[in-house]
Amino acid sequence: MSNFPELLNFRAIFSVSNATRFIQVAESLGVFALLMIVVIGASIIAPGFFTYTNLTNTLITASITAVTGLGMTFAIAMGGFDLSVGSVQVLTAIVVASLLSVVDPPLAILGALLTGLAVGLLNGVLISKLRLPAFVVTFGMMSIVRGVALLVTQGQSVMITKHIEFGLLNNGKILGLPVPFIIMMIVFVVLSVLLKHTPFGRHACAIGGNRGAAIVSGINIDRVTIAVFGLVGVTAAISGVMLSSQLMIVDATLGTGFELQAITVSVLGGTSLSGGHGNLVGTVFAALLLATIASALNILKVISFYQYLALGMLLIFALAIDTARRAFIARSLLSHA
Amino acid sequence: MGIDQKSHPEPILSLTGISKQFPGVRALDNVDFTLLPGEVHALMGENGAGKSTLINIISGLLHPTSGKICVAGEEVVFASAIQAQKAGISTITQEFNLVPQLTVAENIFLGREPTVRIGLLNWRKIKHHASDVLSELGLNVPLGQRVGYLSVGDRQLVEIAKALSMEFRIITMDEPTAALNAAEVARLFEIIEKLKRRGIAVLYVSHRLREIFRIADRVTVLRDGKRVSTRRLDELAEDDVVTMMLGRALKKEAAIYQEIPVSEKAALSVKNITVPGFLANVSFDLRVGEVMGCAGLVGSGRYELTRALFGLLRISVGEVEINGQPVPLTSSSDAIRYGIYMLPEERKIEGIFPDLTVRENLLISAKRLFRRLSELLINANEEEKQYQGMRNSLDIRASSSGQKIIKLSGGNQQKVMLGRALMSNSRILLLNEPTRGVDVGTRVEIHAAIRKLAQSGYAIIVSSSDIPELVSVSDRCLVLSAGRMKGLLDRAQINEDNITALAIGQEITGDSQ
Repeated sequence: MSNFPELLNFRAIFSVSNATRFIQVAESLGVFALLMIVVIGASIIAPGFFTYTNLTNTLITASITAVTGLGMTFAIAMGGFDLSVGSVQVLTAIVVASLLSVVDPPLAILGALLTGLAVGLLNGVLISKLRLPAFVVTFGMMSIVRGVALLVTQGQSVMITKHIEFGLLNNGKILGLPVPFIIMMIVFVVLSVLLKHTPFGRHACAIGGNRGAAIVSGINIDRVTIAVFGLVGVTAAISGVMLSSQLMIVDATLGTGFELQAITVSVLGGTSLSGGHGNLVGTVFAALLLATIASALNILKVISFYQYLALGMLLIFALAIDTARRAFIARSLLSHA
Repeated sequence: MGIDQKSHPEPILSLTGISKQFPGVRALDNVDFTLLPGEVHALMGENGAGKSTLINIISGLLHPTSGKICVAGEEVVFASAIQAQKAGISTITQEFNLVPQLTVAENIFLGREPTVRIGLLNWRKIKHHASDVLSELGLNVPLGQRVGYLSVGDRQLVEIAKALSMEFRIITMDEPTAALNAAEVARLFEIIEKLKRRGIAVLYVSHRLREIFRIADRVTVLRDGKRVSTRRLDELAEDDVVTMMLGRALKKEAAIYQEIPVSEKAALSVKNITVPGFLANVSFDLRVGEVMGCAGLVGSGRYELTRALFGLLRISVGEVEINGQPVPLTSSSDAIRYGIYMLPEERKIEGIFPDLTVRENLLISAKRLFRRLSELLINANEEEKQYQGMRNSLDIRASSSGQKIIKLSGGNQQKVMLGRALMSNSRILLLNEPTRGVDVGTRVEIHAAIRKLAQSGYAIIVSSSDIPELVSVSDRCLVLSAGRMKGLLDRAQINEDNITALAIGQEITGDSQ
């Protein structure tokens, strides 16, 4: 074997986990297949769906959800989740819109990202240092941040009038692709590398898979927890900036239910709420699926309230699939040990 | 074969020609097995021999690919565990099926609570029945006690009480003594004797040979999914059973220990430490190249000692020195930085990461250097090399480095754990129960590996409830009792009697003390 170092390298790269990889690919394909069915179905029954403008808009909506969904996938892999992302999205959308009237776009965007990071880190510190459940902390933070957003704006809308070029973050094209999609792909690549190719990502999965073992293995749980929630905060802030650029006028009532979308796309994409692993490809496909369904319902002039029903049903459906899959794995494991 | 047909004409359970095919593996191959009323029948075999598959088939969790199951002469097909229970088969596993928040009595009647006419619980009946069953077992715990507060041994007895109250005819016990201390084991065996007298058949799975000879009437040995033999134990010696299990004779355990010169240099000095609630005034030096055994019953502070030295429990008084320097131990990452690594007692609870691969599990505590920016990323080739090295030196049997660890046998998982400790770059290893739930062959390999590590300059503490294990690996043996040091035995004084005597709080007699 040692005569063939190339062979060894090849195996090292591709045998990362044949079985796991297979299951993950199959899961992503599952969502992908569903996505294709819905896209084809929508093209047939909803005239105007398969147009350049609509597809672009759908892609933009999907990208905004996917960015936060990717961060959420990281948190879920670690065995947590973040309910405050909707509020963080709206607060950072307001921060960037307000700052644009006083500073240049790069600084305004930086301000929004730092705001998201700060809220995320605070979530992480409260969870790890005060030993509080993520559910309680981020649920509370959801209300607090929403309150701050309302207080800052006094309930008024903020319109972006200076630096209109900020809208390019939404309308611009690079190589024919919408900028939001490019942003989402960059976030996807960065998080994929973090999750699969750094000790940080592996430690996050380890904490989600077996917290007790992670403690005994010398993993600094507090530090990883704080970093992961900081990361989720930043992704929510990126989504906030994207939202601001899309609407150019924002108010503190936006982004309700966004946390539910982010969690749904993670779970639908094949990331188990029980923690231990994250499927980022699946998250992206699931975000596309969600945006496609919303777009089709819009075109068919279905009252938007029904979208809540669809979202809730999708989440429950995704969880049911996840439970069935885990039962299947548990059963196949009976064959060993 | 050796089946005694005269005294028990009809088996309560008989399996004929049972095979179980998994994708790529034939876990059981044409196995015959009979269980007679009133017998204790031991099932033995190395990990992977098919014991668990057989038990899972008997308890209705798995379907055989082919073969016939008869209970009391009637053919049955179990579609689920519930059907097996209805046929009178109870399975007591290591993972207890009790609800910790409920009381003893509530647990015994869980799911089939007697009620009065309007649907309310019939508390009088519950208490009456529960106390009958418990007193029959000689179990002295309050019925109103929450199960979560009971010791592991008592919890197991509550499970047996539950099985008895449901009038099962067959009880299977999978490694029932793994977490029990000597007194609890003795009590369990008394109860098994009572069960026998009531005509209940007990299928007993254990790796512990000595126990098998103490309690079982017959033994069935499996190897590679096939039945090797079913024999009466009074016709056999321990070595015969081992030879049947391995297919070859075993290297003697005692032969593992070879005196090697231990340096006088202390790797770790423990100076009069107190861990509130667990340990008081414990002092010793662990020398470079030494294996120090650590014995003690549950509650002696044995496990807590290793946890405190690994920074997981607070040391309130006293100091720990490494190479003569006092070190603060406030977290496991601190301890690893100072070169201390601990393997946990419960592999499933604090050891393995079920979602991660074998390689990821092996390298989770590996020391990482960040000299260049590119080293922020994991180098898959480097990791694969490290894995292959460790796989060869510890003989880890996995189909690939990317296999999920949960697919490995207990013994191989334990080897990965040991490898993890070695990859942590620590020279002081605290090994808890290094061979719990591991088959005899692997046990010897792990013991040999521990001795070899000491020889190459590691300082090792082996904390174990398995006294023969301590005898076979230790240069010295620390014995704790009720949170205090009861003795520190030299190699010449190390034997099972001395360790047991000290552990239960007696003084040792004889010339050596």
